[in-house]
Amino acid sequence: MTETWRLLRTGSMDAASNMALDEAVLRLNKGKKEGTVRFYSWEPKAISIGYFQGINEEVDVEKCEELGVDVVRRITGGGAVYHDDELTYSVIVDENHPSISRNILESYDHLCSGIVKGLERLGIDSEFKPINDIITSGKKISGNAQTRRMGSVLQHGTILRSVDVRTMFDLLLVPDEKIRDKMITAVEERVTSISNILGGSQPDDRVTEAMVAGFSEGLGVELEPGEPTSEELELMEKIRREKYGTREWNFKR
Amino acid sequence: MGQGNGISRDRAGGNIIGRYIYKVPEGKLIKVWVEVLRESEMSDRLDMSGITGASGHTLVDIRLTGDFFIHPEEWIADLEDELRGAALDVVPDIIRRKVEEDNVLLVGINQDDIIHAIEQAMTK
Repeated sequence: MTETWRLLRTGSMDAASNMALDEAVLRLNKGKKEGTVRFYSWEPKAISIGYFQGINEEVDVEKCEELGVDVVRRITGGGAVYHDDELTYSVIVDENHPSISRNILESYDHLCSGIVKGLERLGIDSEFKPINDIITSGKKISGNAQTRRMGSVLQHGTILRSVDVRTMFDLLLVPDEKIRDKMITAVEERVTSISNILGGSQPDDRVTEAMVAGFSEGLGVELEPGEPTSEELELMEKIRREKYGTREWNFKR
Repeated sequence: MGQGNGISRDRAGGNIIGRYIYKVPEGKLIKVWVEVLRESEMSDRLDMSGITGASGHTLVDIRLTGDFFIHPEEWIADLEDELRGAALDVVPDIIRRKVEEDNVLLVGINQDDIIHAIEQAMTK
C-alpha cells in the first residue's frame, strides 16, 4: 500500500523562519513513519550559506543590509545560494525509512528524483548530477543539500524559476574584483532556470503543482496537504529566536 | 591533485598567517586559514624544537571553511580544536585517526584533500 506523507505549503517567510521551520520539523520527526515534503519561498530575498562557509569570505553583508536581503547560515553544508525567484523544497524523513539509502549520494539521487519528475511535468528533461545538483542540457537548474541528525534526514534545495546572476554577484564576494565580469559570464553559462528553458515565466502555482506531483511520483508516496503542528510552530519560533536570528550562529564561521 | 590557489602570507604577533584555497577535482572547495609558529622565526630567542616537531611548524590556530559536506557537521569544530597546538608532522595522523575513530562521512572532499590544503597553507 502506498504511504501517505504530509505536504506543507508554507508560502513566503523570512530566512531565519524558513530555516527554523525546516529544523523544527526535523527535530520533531523522530519515530514518525511518514515523511514531510514542504514547499516554500523567501520574503525578503535572502542569501543562505552552507554550514561550513565563512560568512565574511562569501557574502557582502553590508550590501545585503543596504538592500534588505536576509543572510542566514544553513544547518546543511554546500555553497552560498541567492534565494530570489525560485521554489524551495525540503524533505524530512526517518533515516531508517526503507527508501532512504545509507549511502548519501544514493539518497540524494532518490530524493532529487522528485524534482526531476516535477520538471518533466513542465516539459523539461533533467537528471541528477552528483554530488548534489540537477542539470538540464548540461546546466544546473537545482542545487540541494542534506543533513542527518537525530535519526532523521533533512534535504532541502532550490528549483530556479528565473535567475539573476548579476544581482547575485552584487551580494556575494568574489576572490578578485578584476574577474567579476568573467565569473558572471561563467555562471550564466553554467546555470539555467525554468523561465530560460520554457521561454517565459510560469505561474507560481503551475510550478508548485508540477513539483507536488513530481515528488509524489519520484518518492512513490501520496502527499496529503497538512499544516505544521502547534508544537512545530512553537519550536520553530524558539529556534528562529535562539539560532537563525542570531549573529552568534550566522557569523560562527 | 586539483587546482590550488589563493596562497597569501601575513604576520600576526610574530606568527605567520597562511591561507590556501583548494578546489578538489570533481569535488568541493576547501578554504584554509592558519596561524603558524615557525621554529626558524623564534630560534634566536627560544628552543622551540619540543613544540614544533621535526618540520619546525606548529599550528597555533586553524579554520577550515568551504562548500563541502561533513556528517556530522559539528565534527569540523572538534577537528579544529584537536589540531590547535599540533606540529605539522602530526597533522595527517590526527586527521586520519579522527576520521576513522569518529566514523565521520566526508562528501565532496576526502581526508587527503584536507591534509593537502592544510600542509599547503602551513608551508608554502
